[in-house]
Amino acid sequence: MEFRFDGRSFKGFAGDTLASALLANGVRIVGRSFKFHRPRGVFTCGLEEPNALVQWGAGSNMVPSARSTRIDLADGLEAFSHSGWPTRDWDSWRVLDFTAPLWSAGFYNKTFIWPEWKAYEGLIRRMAGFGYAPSERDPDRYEIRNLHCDVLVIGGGVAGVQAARTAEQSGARVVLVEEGSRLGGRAAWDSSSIDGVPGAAFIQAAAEALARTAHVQILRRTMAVGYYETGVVTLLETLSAPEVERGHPRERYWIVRAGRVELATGAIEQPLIFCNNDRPGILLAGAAQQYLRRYGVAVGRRVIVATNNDSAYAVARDLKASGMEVLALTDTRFDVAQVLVDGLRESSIPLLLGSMPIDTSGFGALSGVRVGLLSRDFQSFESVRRYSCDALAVSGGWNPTLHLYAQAGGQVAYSETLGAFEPVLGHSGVMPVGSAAGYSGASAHPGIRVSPVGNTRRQWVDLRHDVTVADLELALRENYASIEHVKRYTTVGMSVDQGKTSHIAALDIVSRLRGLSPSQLGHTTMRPPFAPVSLGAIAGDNLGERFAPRRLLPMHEWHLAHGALMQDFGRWQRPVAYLRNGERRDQAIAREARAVRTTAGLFDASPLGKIEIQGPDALAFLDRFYINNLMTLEQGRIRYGLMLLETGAIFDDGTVAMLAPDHLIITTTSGNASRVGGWLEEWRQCEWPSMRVAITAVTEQWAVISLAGPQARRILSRLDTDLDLSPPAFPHLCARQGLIQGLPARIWRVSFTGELTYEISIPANEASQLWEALVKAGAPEDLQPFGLDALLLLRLEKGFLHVGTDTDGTTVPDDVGWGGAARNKGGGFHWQALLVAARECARRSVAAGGAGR
Amino acid sequence: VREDRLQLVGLVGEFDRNFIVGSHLRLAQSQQPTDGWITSAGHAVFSGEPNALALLRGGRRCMGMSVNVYDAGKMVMKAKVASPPFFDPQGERMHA
Repeated sequence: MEFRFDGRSFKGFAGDTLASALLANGVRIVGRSFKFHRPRGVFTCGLEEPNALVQWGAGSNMVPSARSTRIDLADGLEAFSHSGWPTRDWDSWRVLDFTAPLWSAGFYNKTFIWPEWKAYEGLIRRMAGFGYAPSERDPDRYEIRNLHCDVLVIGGGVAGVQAARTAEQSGARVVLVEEGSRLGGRAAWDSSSIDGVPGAAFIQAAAEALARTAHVQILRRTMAVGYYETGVVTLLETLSAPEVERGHPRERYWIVRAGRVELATGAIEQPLIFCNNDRPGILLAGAAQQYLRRYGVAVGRRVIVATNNDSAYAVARDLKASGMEVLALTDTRFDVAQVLVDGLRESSIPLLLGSMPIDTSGFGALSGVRVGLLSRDFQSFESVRRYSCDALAVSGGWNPTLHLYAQAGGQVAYSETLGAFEPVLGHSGVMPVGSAAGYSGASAHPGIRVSPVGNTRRQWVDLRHDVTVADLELALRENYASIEHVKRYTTVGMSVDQGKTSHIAALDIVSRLRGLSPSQLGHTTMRPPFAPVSLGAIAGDNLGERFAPRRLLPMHEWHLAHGALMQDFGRWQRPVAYLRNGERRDQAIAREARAVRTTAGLFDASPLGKIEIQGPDALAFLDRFYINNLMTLEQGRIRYGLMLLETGAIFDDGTVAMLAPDHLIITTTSGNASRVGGWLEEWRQCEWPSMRVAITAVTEQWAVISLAGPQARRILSRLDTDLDLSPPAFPHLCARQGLIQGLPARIWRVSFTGELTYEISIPANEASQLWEALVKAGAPEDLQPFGLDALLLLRLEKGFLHVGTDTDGTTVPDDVGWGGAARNKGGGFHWQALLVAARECARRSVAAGGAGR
Repeated sequence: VREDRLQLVGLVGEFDRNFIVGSHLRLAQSQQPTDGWITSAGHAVFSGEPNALALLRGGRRCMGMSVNVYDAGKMVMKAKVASPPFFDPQGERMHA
């Protein structure tokens, strides 16, 4: 396969990642660091990569800050390094590195605050080289899908596959997600065996068995990115280029509700900290092994392996067995298991116990390492050896990947045994298994990971953000003691990799400097997303017209055909005025308003919020929300009322109509309809679940036609109806049900214009018939349709309140002249105190439930 | 409830000078930067007389008083504080 990097052509193989192909082609400098513009190379083999981030693709398909370790090589692939000017190999800004003492943490804040940060921002952003967003519209499609299952297993390594099999055998519907393109995790390439079977063979057999099981779904290239309230897990599935060409979306955002979540996310290897530990050629030991065994790429010819734990011994032997020259394995511990010593001897790899790298050399990439022999108290080095080498594989232990566990409310604690954080089981919606649970025999009891001597300005902790040990020291000197403050001041662990390879070292160093143990220091919060998620995936296909669907009135076509000027109100397209024969808007408004006052007008009030409240407690339930006393409401009557929040502020207004003692209908302001429905439902479900009430929003089901004006009764009586419209039978503020033109109708005598008004609710699908019948019936009186503008003019003349216009979040009933109603309500404000008390009680119970965190 | 809260009142203006929603109001001799603002503006359907609803500090005590109306920091007109409604105060028409 052919691909291009920074304009040059290279060859790679199917199955390669961009990172492995670059390494195979001898490209060692993949980018420049953001602050000092130091050359940087591939450091890891996974999503934790802090260095080898590239601008992937070209034109509108471009992805900034893509991890080359996670980009599957495709023929014709194009990528660019973010940084380096004029080129990444020869970067003029490299000069910054020699002035490094000036560029301490907080430097930008302290220096560029004057006179105005924006003046510098452009230049600094260009220099930093964090990648740039494409200027064109994203041509790809994204998709959001929902998924329900009994057990969600996150991670397709040995632990995940075993968890999935166990769950599946009980008949549970299982979803297994794997971040990579194939199952197996480390077992797929390392030399371990499971139950006497080689790892790769074990995985293959298990994967085939799972694939044959109908109630198991396997999602590959899918990363679990977040755990949210109510047990929702979000996944990001990346589809391959050929799939996208066949019409699939580029990414799929899954929203999963699972009965149980098992977290088999394994562990992430951590680095060792020493001087110039950032040169290209230095990488994690596990990554060196994976490049070799999975991709057939040697990361160098002459290699040193430096470790503080057992896991790197197998790496050294693998590298040696492949023909690479392993000059030495250094281990910061003085005592290691005899089997490890024997193993290295078998492979004739020199072992240096009680030692670690002190410093490295090389102008671009790595060319030499100085290894120091530690004193027994680990405070200094006793002697130094020099090695000439082109690769240095480091292992500073493995940290369980517990992000989703922590997001789900799980506690983690520092384990001295592990030298990392392990879960404190018992309080999380997520169950860690395998390495994620801290079962990591090979990395138990690690030695020190930070060099005790050397220039701390040259000891990198966060490679992505160029944070050094000296920056952490400075933060502590400036009294940023909490690890959360140190993090924000130095920005350690705050870049795209979110500290996956720097977090543990930073804690280690800060706790040592403060004279605390890491468990006393605590840790920073792990928030979603676990790794970057493209905004396109979160938006899915809710774009353009679908971002906020327009709501059309039942009589929409009629309005358009009669000159309606339409505007958006809470997504409803509503007529504001009907322009006749070249009228101006203000002329139309005046004509419509006069028609309502002199004869009659017809208004489409369909967006009016309508909520049915049914059940034996319906009236008592509603009485708790309105400032008026509703308990005296009689059947067939309507009462106008103000609805308050528990703060006492006006929330909404509308009418309450009683069709039957156990059947009430409330109306809300059009813009507040769904909010009021949600508000009632929240109280019913959370605070008063014992009340026998059902709440049904029927705003869209019933169109509302408002016939207003002195001639309204005459016009309506011309239609075929079984209702007695005479004033004594149907006075103001009464509600009736009956048939009009054979259609079931609910008719309210309420008025927002100050005129005699029949507000007729009719099933939405039949509404146009009635509208047109009324227009025809009203022709002798010159009945005119009127829009929102005329309606608001008429109501203003009547001084009727328009909630949200004449009120804001601080307006209380007394401010609008409703103080009397509040005082007259039975028990005064007692009901409101009840609301507040219920709320407080709810808050306390939430706080108590979360106290274990 | 405090009496100097913003209370909803009506305003009646001078002919041919339209009220603008959001205009600030100050009472004569007021030491406050603002005494309230217009929330709804319009005019009488037949006479065309400008009318408005406004939230005015202690507004119910100010019935019949004159207020200065400000637009974009400049005093643009005077208005009289009135008690709505401006039409059919007894509501006879809607009870018809």
